[in-house]
Amino acid sequence: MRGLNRCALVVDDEAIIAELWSVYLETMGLDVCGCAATADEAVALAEEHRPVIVLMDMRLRGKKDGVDAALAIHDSVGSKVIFMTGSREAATMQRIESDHPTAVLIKPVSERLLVSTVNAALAASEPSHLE
Amino acid sequence: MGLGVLNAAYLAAIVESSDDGIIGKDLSGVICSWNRGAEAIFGYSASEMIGSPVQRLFPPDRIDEENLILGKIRAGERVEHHETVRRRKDGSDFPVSLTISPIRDESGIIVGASKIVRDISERHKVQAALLKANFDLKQVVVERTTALAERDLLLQEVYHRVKNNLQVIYGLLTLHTLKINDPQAKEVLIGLRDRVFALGLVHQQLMGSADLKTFDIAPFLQQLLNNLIDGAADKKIDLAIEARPLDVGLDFAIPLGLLVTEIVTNSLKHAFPMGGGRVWVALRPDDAGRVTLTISDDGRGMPQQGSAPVKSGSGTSIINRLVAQLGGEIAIGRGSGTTVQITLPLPEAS
Repeated sequence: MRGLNRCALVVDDEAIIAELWSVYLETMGLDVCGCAATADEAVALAEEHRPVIVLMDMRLRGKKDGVDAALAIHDSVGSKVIFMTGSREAATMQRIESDHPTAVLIKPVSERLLVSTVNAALAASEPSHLE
Repeated sequence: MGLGVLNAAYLAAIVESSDDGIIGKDLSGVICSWNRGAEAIFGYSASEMIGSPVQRLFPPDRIDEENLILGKIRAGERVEHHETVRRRKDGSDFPVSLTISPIRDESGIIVGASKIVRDISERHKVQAALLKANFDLKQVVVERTTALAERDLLLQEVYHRVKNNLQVIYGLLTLHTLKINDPQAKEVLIGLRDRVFALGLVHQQLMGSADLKTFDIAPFLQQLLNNLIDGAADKKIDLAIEARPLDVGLDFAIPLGLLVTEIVTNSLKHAFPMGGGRVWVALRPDDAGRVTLTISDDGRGMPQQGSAPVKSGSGTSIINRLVAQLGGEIAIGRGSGTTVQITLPLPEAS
């Protein structure tokens, strides 16, 4: 697998939320390589920028959801996907588990929780993968 | 008159007065007695039927039954509560229950059979009605179950939307907090953000609850307080929570969540100017239908309320209003730290 870039992709169809995650990530010193509102946009941006981290909302605009996008990104890029879901329903959680997520955060998510989760994910990704 | 004659008349009277049809027949199936019950059931008089073959009462597709019945009678067996169909004089068929027993002469030889016929049309109607009622009931249950499932989906969706909107407001407040330099304005925005977080958390808990109405307050308090302490991470405050499991609904959780947010925010803001310290939060339901919320800190103690009246919209005013909304009472103790004790009636959901 080709190496990954030390940056993050934010996938959320709610613009303000995407902005908030981006600010949190930039405050902790991580570049945000893009924001996507649909699964297809997310996959395209992930393949273009090869981010080490993807923050993935479960519900997205369009027919495909966050798990669809995460599975595709997992196959073609191999980023660490952190799910940010608004729902605790069993069906949703099962779908998320099918992707072997790095972490699952239930909204509302505090800055501290997001930062510590992203830091843990960064630490777990081997430095050799980073270009 | 001998006893035997009297007995015969007595028995004949019983037979005549029966609502069931009681019919006597010989071993070739020819009718030799016919009571009033049989008249009422079949519509034939005794004079019409005596001497006739019993098959006159059978629908054509049941004629074969008589051979089976007579076979059993000849063998000395009874036929009990045999349910079949017979035909009335007017040609209509109806369900019957038959009990047929062999009749023996004085020497014990089988000479014929007695046949008790019970019209079970009513029973069949009742059974059919019961089956229909049962079927209808099942339909209703299916419809209601579907409606409930739809209601649950709708509620989930509503909670999701509400929570999403709160998250957007939370996001906006946070983004503006980051842009602002005025410390007082920043503090106001952070305070608002934390209250919005509390509301969002209630909806998050509701979405995860089985009945979509109630949830355990203990993990809710834990998350709520963790967020507040995280927000003041620079002050290095320890947090201890003791919350017993308690199922609550929206009407209790929202004011309680806001109340805890107000009091703990106050404590974090005023009690530890030098940083370092401890905050305890306990929620204990008792057997008397009340629940006690105790929030204490080991900080410098809240300043005494002076003679100045409490301003509307201030922290204290909001706390008092929330306590009143919950129907509770508040007591504040000041010593080496501050202890706020609030006693509330238990929510109905628990």
